[in-house]
Amino acid sequence: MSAVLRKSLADLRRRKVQTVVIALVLFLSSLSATLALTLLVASDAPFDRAFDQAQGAHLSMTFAASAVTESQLGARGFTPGVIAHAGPWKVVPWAIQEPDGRTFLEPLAGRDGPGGPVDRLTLSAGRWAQRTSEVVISQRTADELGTQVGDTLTSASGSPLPTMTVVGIANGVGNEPAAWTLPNSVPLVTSSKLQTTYLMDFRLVHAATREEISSVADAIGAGIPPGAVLDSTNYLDAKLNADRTTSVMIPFLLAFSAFALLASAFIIANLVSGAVIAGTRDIGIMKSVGFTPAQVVAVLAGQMLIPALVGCLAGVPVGILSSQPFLSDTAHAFNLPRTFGVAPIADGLGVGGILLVVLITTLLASSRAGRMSAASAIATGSAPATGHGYRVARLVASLPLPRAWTLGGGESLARPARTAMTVAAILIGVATVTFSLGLSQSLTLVKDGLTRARQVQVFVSRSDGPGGKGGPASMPAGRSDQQTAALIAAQPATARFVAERQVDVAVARAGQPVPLTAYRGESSWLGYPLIHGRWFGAQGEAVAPTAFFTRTRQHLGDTITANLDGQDLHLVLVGEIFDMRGDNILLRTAWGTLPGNPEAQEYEIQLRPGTSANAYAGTLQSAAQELGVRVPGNGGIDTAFILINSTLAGLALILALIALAGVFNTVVLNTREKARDIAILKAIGMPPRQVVTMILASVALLGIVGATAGIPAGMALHRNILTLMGQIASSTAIPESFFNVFSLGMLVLLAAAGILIAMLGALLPAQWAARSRVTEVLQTE
Amino acid sequence: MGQLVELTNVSKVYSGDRQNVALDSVSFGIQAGQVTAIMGPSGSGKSTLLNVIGGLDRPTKGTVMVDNTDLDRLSEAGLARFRRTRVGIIFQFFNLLNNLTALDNVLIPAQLAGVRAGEARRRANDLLERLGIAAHRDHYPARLSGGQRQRVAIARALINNPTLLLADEPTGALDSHAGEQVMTILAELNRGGQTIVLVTHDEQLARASASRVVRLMDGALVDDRDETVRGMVRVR
Repeated sequence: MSAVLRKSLADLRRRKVQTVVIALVLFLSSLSATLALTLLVASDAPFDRAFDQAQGAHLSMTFAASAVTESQLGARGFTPGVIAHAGPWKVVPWAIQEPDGRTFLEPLAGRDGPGGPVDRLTLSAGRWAQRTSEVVISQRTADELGTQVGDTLTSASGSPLPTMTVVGIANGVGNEPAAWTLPNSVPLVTSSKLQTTYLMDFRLVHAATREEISSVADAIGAGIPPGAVLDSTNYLDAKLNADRTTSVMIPFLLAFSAFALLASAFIIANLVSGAVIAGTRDIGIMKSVGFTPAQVVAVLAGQMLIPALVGCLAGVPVGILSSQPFLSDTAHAFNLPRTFGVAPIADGLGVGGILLVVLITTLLASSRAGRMSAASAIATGSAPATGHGYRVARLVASLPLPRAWTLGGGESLARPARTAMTVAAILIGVATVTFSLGLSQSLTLVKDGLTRARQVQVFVSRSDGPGGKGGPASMPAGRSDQQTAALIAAQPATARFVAERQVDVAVARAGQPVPLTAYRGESSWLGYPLIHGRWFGAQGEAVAPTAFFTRTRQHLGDTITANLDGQDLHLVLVGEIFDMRGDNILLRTAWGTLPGNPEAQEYEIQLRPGTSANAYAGTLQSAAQELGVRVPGNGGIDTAFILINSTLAGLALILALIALAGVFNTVVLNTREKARDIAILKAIGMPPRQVVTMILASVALLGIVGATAGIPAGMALHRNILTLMGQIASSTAIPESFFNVFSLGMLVLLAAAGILIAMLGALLPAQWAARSRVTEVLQTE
Repeated sequence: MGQLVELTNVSKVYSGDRQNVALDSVSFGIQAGQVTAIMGPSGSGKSTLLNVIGGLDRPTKGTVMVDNTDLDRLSEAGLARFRRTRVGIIFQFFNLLNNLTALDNVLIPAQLAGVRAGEARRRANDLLERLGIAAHRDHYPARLSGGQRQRVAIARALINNPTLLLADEPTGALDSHAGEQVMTILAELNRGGQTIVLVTHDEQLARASASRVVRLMDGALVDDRDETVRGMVRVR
């Protein structure tokens, strides 16, 4: 074994604490880097990857079974522009009776298997249906009904369908039916209100834009009897929804990854340079016995790189494993297949970067000692620190505090460089905690703004009938606007509701038809957070999201002209709202803005406190089966935000631990240097408790300084990242209220977190110092 | 006059690769007001004995009574209180805190003991005056000579009016002139009634300043002589 390696290994054995701290910090750093980078890479376009894997449908079309036959539809699969098709599958509204009497109306499709050329399904549990009484349900349906494989679902009385046993749970990437069974289990009903429809999925040659998809849909519809096409949907909406959530994740993960890597690099640099400087005497001795400068550097590099490598080797797999639950949750949120995600290139680069920081810091820190003569290095390493912090020590000593406190306080600034490193470590820890807490609070507000679940618990839609524009396809017509409104108003649990109708208008520079939603009745309670201005209060006033203002180059207070079927509507823009529907190019206005006597298509209902939304929806659905009653899911928003918050909490915890290790390391180095002074103080009567107090006091001041700087740094980071997330995700500005999440109590807690990080980092070395033997230390002088 | 220090069968064994007996069943007493010199060759256990008497170290076996306190019964905190109120310790290499001025070094034990600031400062200034280094009170140790540093250390040892003053080779790091000055100070203190235990390897110094000389060899007490009567007191 070479002398260099022998010396490196001997030092590792002798400096166990230093070795363990380096390994621990590198473990945490590589863990956080791997976790963040794996999530970052795996979060990139999960919809696109899943869509390609499943041969997802670019276009799904629903046809009236009463107007077209299966064989006619089969021929439409060969329409020019279509490269593959699946179906037609019969779809029937299935009325499921819950044990508590409530009825759910869910679309049930007849399909002979999960595979096929288009829209392949992934079975996440159980198997495909093999008998007429067996059904496979979607993950969303399973979540909503709380149903598992093996459960039975009872059909409501009068339903042509039997009671079904759930034999599987499947996921697809498109607008899937709620359940599937064998094709011959789905009856062909054309006479009652609940008519059978046909569903067909198509993959197209060109499907990048809505226009391309629409043109093929028109061509498909042209070859069959008029009125046969009930509805057509494309994959772009689902993609937009998924991409929006991931686009929120990506800047956040990027920022956090960069922050985590920088913070880790800084603390590693602190750790390594501190350890090298503390070993200056050893360097002198090595040189005096014949080690060349290069060999000295090699010994030090070995001391640092061996534990660093061990830490990284442990941290990378733990980081990869830790990222899997997050990836699994992401997949679940978007109903995507779950896969084991690894990003070997990104992880390798991340860890390589961390090890490079260790190497560079070691080389830089050891080069000074390497250039010193042997005698100088020994003298420098042996001499007690002098000349630093005397004035500060005297100043602090004059404070009316117990002497242990003032001694410690005076010590805290004795070594400016190390003090700066310690403050920086605490600052990073506090900034991380501040940023994470703030972002978590803000994201809760963003989530509330997106889901509006506190304001609106139930949506009701009514149809103008098959072929009409309003309401969901496959829902029969029958109940007028007035009747529907009266029915909702009559429900005792209705707190308030608003009726609405959406029309498309043309606005200059919008570049596309702009959905204009008009509300009947007081609607300011609907829960769209205001960025600037106010909610509309009168006919002719409108609010719009940031993207609308940006796209149309309009400003608050401007009057725009919206053309509705050739008629100009003049709208004053009175408010900019936080709204992330569609691509955010939309307008919301008062009912009176619409010309003529429009009928409402949808109703948003707020329930009285304590009312179950599902129970309410069940009651309403039972009373009017022709209405679409929906308790809104949130399109994975909840899961996505829980995911972000969990990632945030995990990474923040790791960074706080790294900061803690940074403080710990500094205090270990300080107490090692101050061993003689501590022994003297103990010899002249300082009890162990005061020794601990003194060392804690030496970092308390730094904790306060670190917190004082870390809190505004974290708040600035919070504001910038949140703003960036809004801009990247959906070109939206962020309401000021989303930033103002730091209460006085929270700020006090954050300041306390700084002191806590400092104290916790110092506690162990303080206790070691308190337990050290006076005579041993003084005799080694 | 009663025994201020009473050691009974005190042993100290350091365990390492092999056991090292630093003190081997040492028993003797020290009367109040006495100057006792502990002598012996290097590694004979002199400093260990001083450490055990001063509560800086615990014996492996035996009892140490100082000023009617059984040190074995004291916790670490109790020993710290004992050291700061009952004993003052002077080290060969002074052991001053380099980042504190002479005055602040002297003040520390009083401050740790909770003596009021004004009273502590008065005592410290008096001591620095008495020891002839008042002019250097605001100097840091690095700017003081060896003799001046040792006088600061003596002032620090005396600030809480200890009943026992322990001096471990107090002139070992000083030139002869400074050494004489320090010994003169210790003699004056003893004339005032201060009990002193002095560890030294300097035979002449021991004979000149101590009323009693205790000799150690390989951790065992081999000679205990009262220098005032030039006769052996006892060896157990």
